[in-house]
Amino acid sequence: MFHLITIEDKVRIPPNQFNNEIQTIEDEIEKKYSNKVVIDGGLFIALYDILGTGDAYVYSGDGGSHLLVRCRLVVFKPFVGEILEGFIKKSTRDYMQLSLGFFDDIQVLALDLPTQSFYHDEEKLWYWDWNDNQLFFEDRGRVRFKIDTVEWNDAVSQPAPRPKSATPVNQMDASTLQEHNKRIKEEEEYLKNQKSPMVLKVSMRESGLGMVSWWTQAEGGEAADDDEQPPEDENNNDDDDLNGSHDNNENENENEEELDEDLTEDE
Amino acid sequence: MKIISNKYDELITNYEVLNLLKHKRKIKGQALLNEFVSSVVGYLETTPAAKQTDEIVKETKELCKQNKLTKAETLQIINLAPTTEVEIHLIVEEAVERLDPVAFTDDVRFTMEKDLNLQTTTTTTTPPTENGNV
Repeated sequence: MFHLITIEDKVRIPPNQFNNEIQTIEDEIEKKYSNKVVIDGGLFIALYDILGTGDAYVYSGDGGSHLLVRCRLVVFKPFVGEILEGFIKKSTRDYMQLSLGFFDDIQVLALDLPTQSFYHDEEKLWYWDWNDNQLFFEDRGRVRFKIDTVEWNDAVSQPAPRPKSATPVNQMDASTLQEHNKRIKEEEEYLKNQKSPMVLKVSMRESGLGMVSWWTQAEGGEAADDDEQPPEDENNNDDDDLNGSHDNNENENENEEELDEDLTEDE
Repeated sequence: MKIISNKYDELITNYEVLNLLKHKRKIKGQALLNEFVSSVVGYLETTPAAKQTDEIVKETKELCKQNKLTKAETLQIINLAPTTEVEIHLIVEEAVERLDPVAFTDDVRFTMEKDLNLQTTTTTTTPPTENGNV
């Protein structure tokens, strides 16, 4: 999930921080990189350690010193095939969006949900149709998934800066106002079509993936969590299945394993 | 900025990241940055990493080594702390041929829980591991 990446960058140290060099380097690196994605690098989380610095240079016209720093940073960049846990953020007919709290661009396409999954129009949730039981992907529920592909979108993430107009919006004449609105619309459109720089495509087709609560064993007592209860009363079958135990689970595993075997044979 | 090395071999466990972030000095006047860091910590606290100690991680790593798991598999075992056999099958490829899944599940669970018991008797404050890369 996380790994280390070594980078080299120039840092400027203002004169008033000369007695406090290391702390300034740390802060500058963190400010510059945290919460940003570098193509093929990943999402920077934090500075891990400083490996070394080069000589400090002073340029004419600038009182600060500039030095080259080599450091290691913690990045979030899961590898293909890695298993992660997160929660469901949004369910739509085409896909389900998952989140880790700090990273939201995780998508499961309908195709990659457990086989025989359907969309429930009234609940606006997906469910897995397993032995005539509707197992729901509950909103904000904890799910386990496998990374299929990591997609990098090498594009500008911000629209070009708008020229500053001297007149405020409420004093514009008709034509400038029209132009102004048009530009705002264009920008919104642009941002809407803009893809996030790192998108994870994940799947839940193997046994063990999907809602975590489906696979926890009843004996630990953990499985009896409240969030395991189906959200509505109409699915009484669910109750039996979810609270009922372990035998069912084992059957499920067997089923799934058979499924997997089928799949591999197909390949 | 120049990327010097960007390989998958410098993996780091959730536990180490959590420790690093917890002991981090907050930068003044950077509300967004601090919020981001706390959201990462918030996520990691929901994972098994929150309950782990240096000893647990080391022992689990040793256990995986004995079973000849790859680096990536070891990392996932530590991060996810699997308690069921299904999870082992998910993480370890061709688990049946390479190890005894039932025994291994028990071993992992035992390792994770043993230190939990220890923790209650001896309260140990663990410093952040600086060089404990997997």
